[in-house]
Amino acid sequence: MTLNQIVKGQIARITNISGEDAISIRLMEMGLIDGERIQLLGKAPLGDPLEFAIRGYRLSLRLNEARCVEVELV
Amino acid sequence: MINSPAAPQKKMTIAIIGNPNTGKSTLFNLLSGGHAHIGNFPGVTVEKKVGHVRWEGRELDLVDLPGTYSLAPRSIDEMLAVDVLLGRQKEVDQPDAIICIADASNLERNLYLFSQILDLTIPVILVLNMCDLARSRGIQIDAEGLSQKLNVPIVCTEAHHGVGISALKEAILQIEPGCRHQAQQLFPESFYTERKLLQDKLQTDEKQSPPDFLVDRLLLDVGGYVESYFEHHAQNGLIDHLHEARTRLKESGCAVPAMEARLRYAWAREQLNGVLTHPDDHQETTSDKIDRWLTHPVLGFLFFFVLMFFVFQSVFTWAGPAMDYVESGQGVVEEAAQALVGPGPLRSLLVDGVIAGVGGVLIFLPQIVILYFFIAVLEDSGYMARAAYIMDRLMRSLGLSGKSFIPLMSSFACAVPGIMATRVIENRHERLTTILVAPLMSCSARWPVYTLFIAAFIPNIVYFSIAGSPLVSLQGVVLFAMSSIGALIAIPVAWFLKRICFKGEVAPFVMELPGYKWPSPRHVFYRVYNRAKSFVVKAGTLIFATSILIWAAGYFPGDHTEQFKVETRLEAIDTEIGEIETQLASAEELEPAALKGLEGQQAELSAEQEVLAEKQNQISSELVENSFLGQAGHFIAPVVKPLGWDWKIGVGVIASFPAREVIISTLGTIYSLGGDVGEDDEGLIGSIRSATWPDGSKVFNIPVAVSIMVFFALCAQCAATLMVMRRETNSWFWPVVSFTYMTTLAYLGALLSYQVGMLLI
Repeated sequence: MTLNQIVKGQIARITNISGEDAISIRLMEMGLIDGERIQLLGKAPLGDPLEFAIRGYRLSLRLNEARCVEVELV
Repeated sequence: MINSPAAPQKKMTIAIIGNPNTGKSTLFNLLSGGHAHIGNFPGVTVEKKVGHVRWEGRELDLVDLPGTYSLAPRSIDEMLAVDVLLGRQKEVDQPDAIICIADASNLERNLYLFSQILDLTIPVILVLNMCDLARSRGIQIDAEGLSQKLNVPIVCTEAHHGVGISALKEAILQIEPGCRHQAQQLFPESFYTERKLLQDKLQTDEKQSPPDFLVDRLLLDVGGYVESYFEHHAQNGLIDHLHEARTRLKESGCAVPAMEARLRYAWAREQLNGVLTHPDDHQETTSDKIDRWLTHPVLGFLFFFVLMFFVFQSVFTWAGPAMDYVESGQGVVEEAAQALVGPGPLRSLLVDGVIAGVGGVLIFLPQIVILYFFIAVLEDSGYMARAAYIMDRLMRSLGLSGKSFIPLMSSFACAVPGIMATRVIENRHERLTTILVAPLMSCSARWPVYTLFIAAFIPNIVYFSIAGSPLVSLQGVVLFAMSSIGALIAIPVAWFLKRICFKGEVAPFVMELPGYKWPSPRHVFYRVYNRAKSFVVKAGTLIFATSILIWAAGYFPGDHTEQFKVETRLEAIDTEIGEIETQLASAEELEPAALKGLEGQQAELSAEQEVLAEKQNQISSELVENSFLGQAGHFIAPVVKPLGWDWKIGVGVIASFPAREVIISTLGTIYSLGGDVGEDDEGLIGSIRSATWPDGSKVFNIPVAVSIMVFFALCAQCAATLMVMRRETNSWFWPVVSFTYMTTLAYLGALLSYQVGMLLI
């Protein structure tokens, strides 16, 4: 499954980030590395973007970016 | 001895870098004492902030670099930081040391950038800022232990409270310029082999191989700025070699770009292991609790709109009195100048050119200061990121992102602070799009134009009223339509810019939501002060020059002797009438005959005054007609004819290049009223209503009025905006583009409104 599919409050483990484009590189620079745990904290009022907790900070991603991140639930 | 003033040492250059939201600018302000030279680096939109300081007899240049998460440049703007750090930027010396500012409450991610900085081999000081926030979250850091592990000096600070600044200064003074450390070997051996091969390859066609750091970036950043630079500048075969090198790296199990992030984060975690303890990562913080309300689907939206309403309400209501002060101050100075200098070219230059020009700049200052105060508070508290988060979905339909919302919203008050506020947008194309559409938002300078023409030509028909007070009237509808037309046009313009002109990768929306904190008054003050100062100094000089040019065009080449004679006589009459009035005030002591004589004198003078005033208006309007400006008006008359305009309106449009509202005083002058008219001046309304073409038909009707309003809604007649645009984009290209496209739109819009309007009536 991908990161856009987890529900609020759920914690997932990143398994892979696909692609070599600017989005994937930026995500990796922000610490989204395989094996890392990430939690969905909430959604913006219109359902997009999303707010995540990772490595002790809060990160906001659009559904589109979240789709690049493959995860598994823990 | 490092601090001995007896042995003057070379000036040191210190670069300050760090992730966004780490309190970097607060620290920079504290270190530089708030005195910084602000400008632009040539060729990029990056602000150059350099603070010159002297500590204990030692001279230092502090260079503040833009906040960044990584030193892997993807654009020319991001490349700037790398160029400065490598000493490849001619504007500043190569740094002798780097201060890397990290958020102590979020150290692991901040160490990513730090590990890239270590690769530069320049001495570095790691600053752990916001230590108080980290402590309050239960994070404990053994700074000493970490310093030993990393082998760099570490200083703990709380920039918001000014804590740790002297320790940081001391650490900076301990640095020995020119010293270099060994590069760490973070990557597997195969990477360094490839780097060597690539260096050899580069050496053959360039005299000197670029520094290791750049070769690393070339190899690591797939599609990055360094790669695209070499694609254009290196000999054939280099890029093929690069691709082969990356393939070989992938085969050996260290595929770029993923390898770098994986290894650096693993390194960061290892460094922190044993020196940093923190509670469970997924524990709810105070910020999370606040966010449950502020980003709530319903309440979050509501709060956002109430806040925005409050902000813009304040900008209008608070700026109003301040703007009145500026205006009355301008009046006082004008009177003083008139008292000092008699009628003549010098007075005209002073009053109509210099004072009017400077006043035209200063009048924007209250709005800029107030809006910037709110922006600084919202940014420093962390709410700005939430505003972008909430608005992103809506703004995306325009091809923009949430970060464009505040700048565009601000532009409804005034495009100048709006364009300045686009600094929060990191993506260059998105920022340029926002800058280009910002002047389309209906700013407060357009209101005088709308109110004048609506009052004069739109019938006051009330469609809907409650208890006698009109709720919906035709005048209100037209005003609303005029205020929204620009924003509506901005939608296709933004779409066109994003899809056609700035084609390419969609900017990723990867945004940190920093923890909420109380804004620091000192930081807010610096932000507002610096913005206001740079506006007055940089934009001011240029608007000032433009105003003088327009003044000269309206003044020359006419012969003003007659006008000055009339003016002198009018002023003499004023004084005489004043004297008579004083005498009349003490009327009881006067003989009835003397009283009558005085009254007769007064009446005579008043009559002469009236005649002269009319004559003056006539002379003024003749002078304007024959001036260069008037000639230009006649010259463009055929161009504006299809819009239903006569040459006088043409002159008004040219003269209002420095600021839209100038059209009113220009129309006032040309329609023989003298320059001093306001938008609700009955006389001006009356005279434009009765203005006629040479054949006797009326110049103004509803389609002409609408055509003028539409023109001013869409045109770029604002020197301040164009100058700020030049300053923010560091190029004349964008103001020229903006002026051209907006004038074209304005012309077409006015043409359409007039022609369609004429068919309807």
